[in-house]
Amino acid sequence: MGLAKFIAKLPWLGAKKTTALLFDEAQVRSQLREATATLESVFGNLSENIIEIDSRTESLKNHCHTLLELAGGHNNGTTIILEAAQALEDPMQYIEESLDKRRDLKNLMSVCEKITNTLLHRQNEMIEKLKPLKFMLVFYKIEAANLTAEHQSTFITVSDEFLRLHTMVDKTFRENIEKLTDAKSRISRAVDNFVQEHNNHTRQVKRHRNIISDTISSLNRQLSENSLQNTDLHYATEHFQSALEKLVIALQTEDIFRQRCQHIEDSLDNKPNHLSNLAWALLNSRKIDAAAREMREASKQVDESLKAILTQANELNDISVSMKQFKHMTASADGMIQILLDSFDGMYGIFKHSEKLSSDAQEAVSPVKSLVSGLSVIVNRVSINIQFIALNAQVKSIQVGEGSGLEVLAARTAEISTELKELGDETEKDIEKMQLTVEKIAQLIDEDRKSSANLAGNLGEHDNSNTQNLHNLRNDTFNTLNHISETLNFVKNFLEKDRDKLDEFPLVASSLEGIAQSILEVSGISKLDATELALLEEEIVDELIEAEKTSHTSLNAHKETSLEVFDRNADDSEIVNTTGDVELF
Amino acid sequence: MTQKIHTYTASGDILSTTAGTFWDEVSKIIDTLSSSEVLRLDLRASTMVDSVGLNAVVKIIRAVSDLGSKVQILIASDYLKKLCAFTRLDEKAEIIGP
Repeated sequence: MGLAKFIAKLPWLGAKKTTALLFDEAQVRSQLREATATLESVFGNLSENIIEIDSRTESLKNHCHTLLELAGGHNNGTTIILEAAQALEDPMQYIEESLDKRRDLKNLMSVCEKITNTLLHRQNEMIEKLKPLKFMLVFYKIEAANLTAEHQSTFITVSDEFLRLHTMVDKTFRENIEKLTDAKSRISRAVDNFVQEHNNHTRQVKRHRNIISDTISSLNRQLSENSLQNTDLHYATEHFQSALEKLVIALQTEDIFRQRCQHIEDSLDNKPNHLSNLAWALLNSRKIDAAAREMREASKQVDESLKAILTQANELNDISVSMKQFKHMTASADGMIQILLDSFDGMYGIFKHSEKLSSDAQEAVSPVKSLVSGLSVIVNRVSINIQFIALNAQVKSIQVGEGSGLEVLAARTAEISTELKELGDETEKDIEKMQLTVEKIAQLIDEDRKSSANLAGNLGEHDNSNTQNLHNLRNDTFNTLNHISETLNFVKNFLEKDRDKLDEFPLVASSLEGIAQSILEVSGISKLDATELALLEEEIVDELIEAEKTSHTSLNAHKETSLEVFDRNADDSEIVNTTGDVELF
Repeated sequence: MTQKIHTYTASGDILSTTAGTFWDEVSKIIDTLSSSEVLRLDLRASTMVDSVGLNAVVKIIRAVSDLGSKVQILIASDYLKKLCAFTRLDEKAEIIGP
C-alpha cells in the first residue's frame, strides 16, 4: 500500500498533512546553534591546549632523546667517560711504577735495617774490646805506685785518660745502642707498613683497573646493543605523540558536527514538496537524533583520546624514571659515572695515603741519619783517644825504662787500640754505607712525596676537570629528567581539566535528543504503531540517504585534512600513520 | 629488638656547594655507628640533590654498608622520589616518603 493511500485512511494524520509544520523550527534552530556554540567553546579550548601541548611534545621528544643519549653515554657522554678513564690511566700507571720504586725503597730500608743491626753489633763489640781497659786502669795504678813521683804523675795522667775514655764510651755507646735499637724498630715498622700498604695499594689499583676496564666494556656494549631507536623510552615517546595525534583527529569532529547542524538548519527552509508534513517532521527528528549521536560519539572519542594521552604520559613518565634497559645507566648510583668518580676518589685516597707513608718513612729514617753521623764522630774520637793513650803509654814506659810492668800494659793498650781501630774502620764503612742508603731513601721519599702530592692535587675533586665533566654530565641527565617530568605534569594537568569540560557534551546531546523526541511527540509520530512508522520511514529513506551522503562528503573531506595534518606530524616524528582508519561517525 | 637509629637532618638541598659539609657531618655520625644500628638521613628539607650531592650520599651508603649497617633516607619531595628511583638509590637504601 502506498504511503498516500495509507495516510488518507488516517483521518487525524491526513488532517495534519494539510496543516502547518508540526514542530517549532525556531526552537530547533536555537537548540542547534546552542549545541554548536558549546562544542566550539569546549573544542576551542582543547585546540588551544593542543597547540601548547604539541609544541611541548616536540620539546618532550627532544628531552627524551637527550635523556637516552645521556643515560646511555652516547655522543658527548662517551667522550667524557673515555677521557675520564684515560685521565685515570696516568695516575694508575704512576702508582704501579711508584710501587716498583717503593719496592726499591723497601729494599733500601731493609738494607738500612741490616746496617743498623750491624752497627749495633759493632757497638757491642767495641764495648767488649774496651772492657779490659777497666782492669788495666787498676794495673796502671798498681804499677805507677812503684815509680818515682815524677813518673807516677805521668802514669796517673794516662790512667785518668783511660778513665775518661771509659766513662765516655760507657755513656755514649749505651746511648747509641738505645738509639740504634729504637731506630731499628722504627725502620722495621716502616718496612712492615710499606709491605702491607704496597700489597694494599696493588690490590686497589688492580681492582680499579678491572672496574674501569669493565665500565668501558659496558659502555661499548651499551652503545652497540641499545640503539636509541629500540628503547622503551623511544617507543613510549612515539606512543605519546601518536595518542596526541589521535586527539587532533578527534577534535576535527567539531567541524563535521557544525556542518551537520548547519545542514539541518538550512534544510528547515527547504521542505521537499513530495514529503508530507509528518514525514518532514520525522526526517528532521532523525537528523537531529543523528547529530546528538555524533556529539556523543565525538565526546567519547575525545575522552578516549585524552585518556590515552594521560595513560601514555604516565607510561612515559614511568619509563623515563626506570630506564630498565640501561643496566649501566650513567646516572645511576652504581652507573658508569659513579664508578669513575669512585675510581678518582680511590686514586686520590691512594696518593694521600702514599704521602702519609712517605712522611712516616722519612720520620723513621730521619733519626738514623743524625744518629749515624753522631756515631761516626764518637767512634772516631774513641779510636783516636785510645791510639793517643796507647802511644802515650808506650812513650812513658820507654822513658821509665825496661823491666817495669808498664811496658806490658802499654803493649796491651796498643793491641786494643789496633783492634778498636779495625772495628772503627769497619764501623766507618758501615756508617758511610748507611749514610748513602739513608740519603737515597730520603731522595726517593722526597720524589715520591712530591709526585704523589702533585697527582693527588690533580685528582682532587675541585681541581679535576674530568670529575667536573662527569658531574656536569650527570647533572644534565637529572635536569633532562626534570624537564620531562615537568612537561608531562603540565600535559596531565591541562588534559585533566579538559576532561572535566567534556561533561557538557552529554547535556547538549540530551538536549538535541529532547528536540528530536519532542518533534515526534508534537507531530503525533510517537503514537504511530510499528507498521505506520515503517511506512513513514520508507517515505524519508531517500532524504536520509542524501543527508548521510552530504555528511560523509564532509567527513571524507575532513579525514583528508586530518591526514594531511597527521602526515606533516608523521614526517617530523617518523611515525607511520595508523590512524587513517579512525571512524569518526 | 628495636634498632638504634642515628639521625642526621639536612637543613636544605645537597648540592656541590653543601655536599662537603654534609659528608663531614655525616662522617662523624658514621664513626660512632655500630653494625646493628641504622643511619637515617632526613632529607625532608631538601628539594634538590645534584651529582656531587648524590656522590656524597653514595659514599655514605657505602661507608655504612661496610660497617654492616643500613641507611634510611627520609624525603618529602616528589622530584627526590623520582631521582632516587632513576638513580637506583632506592636499591641501595630504604627510601621513606613522600
